[in-house]
Amino acid sequence: FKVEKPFSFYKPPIKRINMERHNTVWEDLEYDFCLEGKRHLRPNPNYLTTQPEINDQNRKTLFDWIIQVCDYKNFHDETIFLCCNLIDRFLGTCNVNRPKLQLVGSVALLISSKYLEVEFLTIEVLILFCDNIYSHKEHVDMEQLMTNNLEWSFTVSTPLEFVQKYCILLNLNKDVIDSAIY
Amino acid sequence: MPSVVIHNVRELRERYEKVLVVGEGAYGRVLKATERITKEIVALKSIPLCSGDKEGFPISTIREINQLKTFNHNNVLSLRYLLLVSDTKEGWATCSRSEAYLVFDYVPHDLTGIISDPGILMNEASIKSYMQQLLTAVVHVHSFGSMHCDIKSSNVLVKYDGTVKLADFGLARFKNPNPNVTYCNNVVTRWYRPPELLLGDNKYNEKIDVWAVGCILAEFMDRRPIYPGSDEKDMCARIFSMMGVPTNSTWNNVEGLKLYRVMTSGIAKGPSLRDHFASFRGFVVVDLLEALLQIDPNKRISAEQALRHPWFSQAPEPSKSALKLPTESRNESWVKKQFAEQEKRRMQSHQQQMLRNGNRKRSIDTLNASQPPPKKQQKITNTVRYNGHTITNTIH
Repeated sequence: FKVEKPFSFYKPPIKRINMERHNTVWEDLEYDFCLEGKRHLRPNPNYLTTQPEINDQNRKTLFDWIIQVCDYKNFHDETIFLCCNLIDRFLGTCNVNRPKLQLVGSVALLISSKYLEVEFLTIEVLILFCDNIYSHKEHVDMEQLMTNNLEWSFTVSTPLEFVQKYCILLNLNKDVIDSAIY
Repeated sequence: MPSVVIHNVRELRERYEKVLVVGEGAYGRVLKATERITKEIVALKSIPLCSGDKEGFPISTIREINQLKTFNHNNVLSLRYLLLVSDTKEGWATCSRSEAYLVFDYVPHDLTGIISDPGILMNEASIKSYMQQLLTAVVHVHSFGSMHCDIKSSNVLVKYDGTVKLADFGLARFKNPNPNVTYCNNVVTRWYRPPELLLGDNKYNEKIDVWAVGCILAEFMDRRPIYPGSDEKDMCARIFSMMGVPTNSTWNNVEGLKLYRVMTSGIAKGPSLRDHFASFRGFVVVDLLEALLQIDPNKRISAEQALRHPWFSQAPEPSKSALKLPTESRNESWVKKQFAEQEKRRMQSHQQQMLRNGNRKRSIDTLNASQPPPKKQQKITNTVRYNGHTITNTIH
């Protein structure tokens, strides 16, 4: 399909696609909720310019590390996306110096795995993954700071969620869905 | 939802006047307290923070707060704010005595208390109203793609005016749009667990809540839980003896579930659901109950369809105030207290009887003859009444 308007103003033509198979009220509600209600949950797009010590290279290495950990633990893709969203939003709210950046990533992993996974990461395992740089207390303190700064909202719509919903709505076959998610 | 940080316990005491402990469980404690400034009564749900594994905030808290932030409905208990109490200046996490509380409105009654209080006479209008409000709350929760996962009668709170509030979202979670995602199988209190969970399915959907609502409706009609199983096997035996053992022809792919073989062996046919509610024969409510308590989750109706059931549009009209609720709270802890008192009274009467009889041996014999454990006795009589000769199979 084609998206004529900018994505955030685009209302999906749900009712036209398959009226019988989906409960339209449910879908409508959910899309309104995703797009309008969660606008404040988007990360600030310019936060890297305000952070004195962090550049896009640091961010890239951090995300690579996170993807490695999630691969090792066989986590869902949603966990990775949520984790990245948490880091971006948190870095938009306060300045972090470079040695503490991995702690931010580690705590974001802790929260997102607690929120989405059946078997979540424990702090001890995370300390091992970070090569014992940070202590247990630092993790707990950072968790407190992060939950407070993000106002406890971890229910975000990630790009992955949109891809999955459109795939279901358009009734695509499995190969297309897999390539779209990839 | 603002979170309020309080720096020591004294400040907490200045702010709230503790009245009493309302409930206690694995999750922590629930306190009833009055806010000194506004004179409002609130419920404080404590979060166990530094006990146990010391993993920071527990999962259930993270999920509960996120769920509660999403919902905005009259029949869902809303969260006021989060209270963080620290005892030292360095930081709240360092101290072993730091605490956190979720602050809710205080709601006096819950359905366990109302159903098991013999002083409250049920009428159809009030049951209809409670069920309608509960179902609207469940529809609201499901409309966000979320599952409550712990609906039971003690989690459904009732205000003085009869407004129902659905509470305790500690196990609730959002459903993933991808249908192949697996969830934790160990959810929902045992008596309210649907068959797909008992058979070890971990790709369940929001229909598990509908089953629990059906159990509550049956509890309303019977004034006791419909499937009070003592363990998972017993739960399966009770459900399948009433509904029949599912096979691949009645429920698609049921035999592929993990625990199918273990759970469905040696089950005798008991009285069916309609026989169990024989005194309600001819009432529309049994239709609704049957639709809610379908074993196959694909055939079970959704909460929204249940709301459109003809029972709700029939006379008598649902009315909140049809039932006069007592001024003291009737909740789960009240039921427990009542039960403990009953036990105590029975023990005392035993002892008196023994003293009176003098002969110890004879008194024990009479005790065994006249007063066996009350719950089991009742069930045996029921089965005898309904089903003649298959007593032993149903009980053991």
